[in-house]
Amino acid sequence: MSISFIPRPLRRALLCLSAFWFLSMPASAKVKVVATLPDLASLARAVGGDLVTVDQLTQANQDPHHVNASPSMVVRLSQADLFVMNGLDLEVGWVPALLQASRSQKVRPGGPGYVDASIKVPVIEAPSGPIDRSMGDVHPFGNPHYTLDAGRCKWAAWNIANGLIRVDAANAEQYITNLKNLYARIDAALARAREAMKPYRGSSVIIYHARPNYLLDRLGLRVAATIEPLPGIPPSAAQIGRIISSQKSKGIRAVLIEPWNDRRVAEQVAAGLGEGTSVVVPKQAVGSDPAAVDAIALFEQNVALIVSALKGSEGAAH
Amino acid sequence: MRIIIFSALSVLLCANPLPVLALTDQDARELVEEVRSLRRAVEDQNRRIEELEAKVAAGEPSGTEAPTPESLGDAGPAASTPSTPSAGSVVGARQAAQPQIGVVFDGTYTAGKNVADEAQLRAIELNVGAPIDPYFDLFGKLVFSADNSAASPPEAAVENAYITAHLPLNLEARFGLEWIPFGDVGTLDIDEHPQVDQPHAIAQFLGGEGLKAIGGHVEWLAPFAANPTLSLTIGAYNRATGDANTTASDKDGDGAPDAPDMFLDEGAFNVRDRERGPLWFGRAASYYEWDAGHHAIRVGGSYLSDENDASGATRTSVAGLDAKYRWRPDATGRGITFAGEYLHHRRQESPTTLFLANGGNDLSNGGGYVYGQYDFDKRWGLGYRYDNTNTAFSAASEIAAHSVYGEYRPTEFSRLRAQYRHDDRNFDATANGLRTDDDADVFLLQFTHFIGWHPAHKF
Repeated sequence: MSISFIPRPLRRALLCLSAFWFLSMPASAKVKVVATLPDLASLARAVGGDLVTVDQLTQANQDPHHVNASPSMVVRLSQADLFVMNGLDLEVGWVPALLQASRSQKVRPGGPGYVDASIKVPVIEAPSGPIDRSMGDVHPFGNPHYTLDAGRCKWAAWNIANGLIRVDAANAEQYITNLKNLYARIDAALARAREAMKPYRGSSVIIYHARPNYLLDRLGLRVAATIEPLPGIPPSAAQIGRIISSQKSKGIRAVLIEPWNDRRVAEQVAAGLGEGTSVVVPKQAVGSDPAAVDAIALFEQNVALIVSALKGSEGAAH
Repeated sequence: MRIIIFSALSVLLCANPLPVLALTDQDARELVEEVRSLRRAVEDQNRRIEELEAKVAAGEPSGTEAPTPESLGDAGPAASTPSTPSAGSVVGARQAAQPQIGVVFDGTYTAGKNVADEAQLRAIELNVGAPIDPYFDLFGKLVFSADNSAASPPEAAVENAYITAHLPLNLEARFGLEWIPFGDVGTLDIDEHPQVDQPHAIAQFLGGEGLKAIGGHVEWLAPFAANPTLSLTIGAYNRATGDANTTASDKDGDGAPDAPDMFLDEGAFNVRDRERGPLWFGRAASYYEWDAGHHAIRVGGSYLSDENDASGATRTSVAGLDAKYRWRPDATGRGITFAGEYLHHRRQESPTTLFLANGGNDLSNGGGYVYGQYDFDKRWGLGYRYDNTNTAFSAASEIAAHSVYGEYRPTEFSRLRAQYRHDDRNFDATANGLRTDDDADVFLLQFTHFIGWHPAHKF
C-alpha cells in the first residue's frame, strides 16, 4: 500500500513519532511494579529481585495522607503489571482517583495486578463502635502505618509475592525463595531489636500522632499520652499544659513526632517534662535517610533512635 | 509432652509384654523408628513453644505470626480479591459494596461598594459515585440551591451526571452532563475554586462556574510519555449552559449594574438550547514534574466552537491557554502555586445584527487572570489574583480586578476564606450605556465544608 498520499513533512513526523514510541518501549520483559509508598517499593524489590522493575509514586518526605494525584502517576500506573498500595484508607484521598483514571483493568480492584498490602495484617486501633469526623481524622479500618514495624512487613511482602505470582506464575519459585530470604532478614532484625530493647521494655513514651504505634507495639513500649487531642487536630496551649502536668513525674524519656508536624510543640512538651526527655523524629519512610535503604534498615534506624532516647544519651533528638 | 509419651510407652510395654515378645526384628525396627519420629516431633514442638515464650517475654505483639512463604501456593484467588481490611472488616466490606456519597456545603457573604450586601448559601452538593462494573464508573452531583430570594427561589438541579468508560489504547470516554473540560478553573467544582469568586474572564466566556453541557469527550493519554505527559481530548456536546450573567442587575439600586454583571452581551455560549450542529471541543495538555515531584507544571490549550444559529453560517469560538505551576518542598503543606489562563472569544456576526453596529467587524474580546498563592502550612494560605477582560462591544471597555485573599483550613474537611476585590471598570459609555466610574470594592467571605466522600482534587 502506498503512503505517497501523505504529505512528506507529515510522513517524517509520523516516522519520528513511531521511532520515539519504539525506543521508549521497555527493553526487557520484567514485571513492572508500581507502589504507592517507598516502604512498599522496597519490599517489592526484595521479593521481586531481578525479575521486576519497581516505581514508587511518593517520596520519603511526603505525607501519604496528602498527595495530589498527578497525570504522570496516571501514565505510570497505566503501564504497570502490578500495583501495590498500603490500604487501610491511608491513600484514600488520591489512589481511587488514580485507579479510576489508569485505564487499566489489570491494576484496578479485582484485577490480577491489584495488591492491597494490608490484607490480613494484624491491625491495631480499629474502631469498635460508630465513628464520625467529630472524632478527628479517624481511620475507620484501624491504624494504617504498619510498614514501620518490620514484623508486619512480612504480611505486606507476602501479599506482594502473592500478587507477583498471579501476574508471573512462571517465576513463582523464585519469588517464594526471595520471600523466604526476606523473612530471614526480618527475623534477624527483630531479634536484634528484642535484644536492644530488653532494658526498656514496658517504658512509656509520648507521641504527637498515632503514626509510630506499630513500631512501639513491636518494641514493647507504651504510649503514655498523645499530644494531638484528636487525630489530625493540633493541640491548644492548654492541652499541651495538661499533658505536661499529667506526665511530669512519670519518667517519660522520649517524645516522638513526625517531621511534618510542628516540632516546637514536641520540644515544648519535652522541655516541660524536664531534663532527660528528648524529642525523637523517627524516620518516616525508606529513603528519608541515606542509611534507610529498605524497610528493614528503616526499622533498625528507628529502633536505634528510640533506644538512644530511652538511654538518655546525647544526640537523641534527631 | 516427652514424659507423657515415654510414660505411655512404658505403661504399654509393662502392661502387655506378650506382643513385644512376639515382635520380629522388622517390627522392632519399625517401632524404634516410630519412637524416633515421635521424639523428633516432640522436640520440634518444644522448640516452637520456647520460641513463642521468648517472643512473649520480649514483649512482641501476640497473634502476629506472618503467613509462611510456603502458604503462597494455597492463597489462590482469594488473595486477589479487593481490599478487605482485616479489622473492622464488616464495616469495610459494607462500605466497599455501596456507592460513595458525600455532601459539600458552600456559603458566602458579600458586601461592599456597587454590590449587594447579602449572605448566600451558594450550594449544597450531593456527590454520588461508584464503579458500575469493571468497565464503567458513574458519577452524579445534585445541587440544592438555597438562595431563597424572590428572584432565585430554592431549587434542586442535576449539575453533573456522567458515565466514565475505560477503553483500550489508553483511552477514556466520558458521556452525560458534565463541565466541558476547558482550561483549568472552569472545570473545577465550586469547592475547588482557588478563590471565593471566579475571575471575570471565566464568568464572561464560560459561565459563572464553568460551561456545563450534555455530550461527551474522549481523552487519550500518550502511553510513551510519563514525564512529561501528553493528553489529547476531543468532545462534542449538544447543549451547553453556563450560569453567566446574561442581564445586568442593580441590586443596590444606585442605577449602575452590580459587579460582576457588567457585560451586556450574552457571553460566549451561555444558555443556548441547541437546535443545530454540535458544539465541538478540543484540548491538548502536558504535565511535567522535576526534583522528585517537588516542582510540577501543567500547560494546556483548549478550543470550543459552536454555530450561532441553525443556518450554520456564522460561528462562535473560544480559545484558551492555561498554565499552573506548583512547588511543594516537603510534607508540611508549605508551598507556592502560580496559575493563569487567557481566553479569546470571537463571534462571527451576520450583517443584519451586531455586525453592522460594530462597524462591520466580528465581535471579539479576550481576558484572563493570573494568581499566586503561598501556603504557610496545611492550614494557612495567602494569595493574590489579577484579572482583566475586555467587552466584545468595544476594546475600550474593560474591567481589571485585583484580589487578595487568605484561607484557613482547620482540617481537610473545612475551609474558611476571606477575599477583597477591587474592580477597576473602564467602560466606553457610548458602546453600552454604562457609567464609567462605577468601580467596585467587594468583600467576600466563604465557608466550605465536606462530609463523607469527595472526588479527589485535581492538580
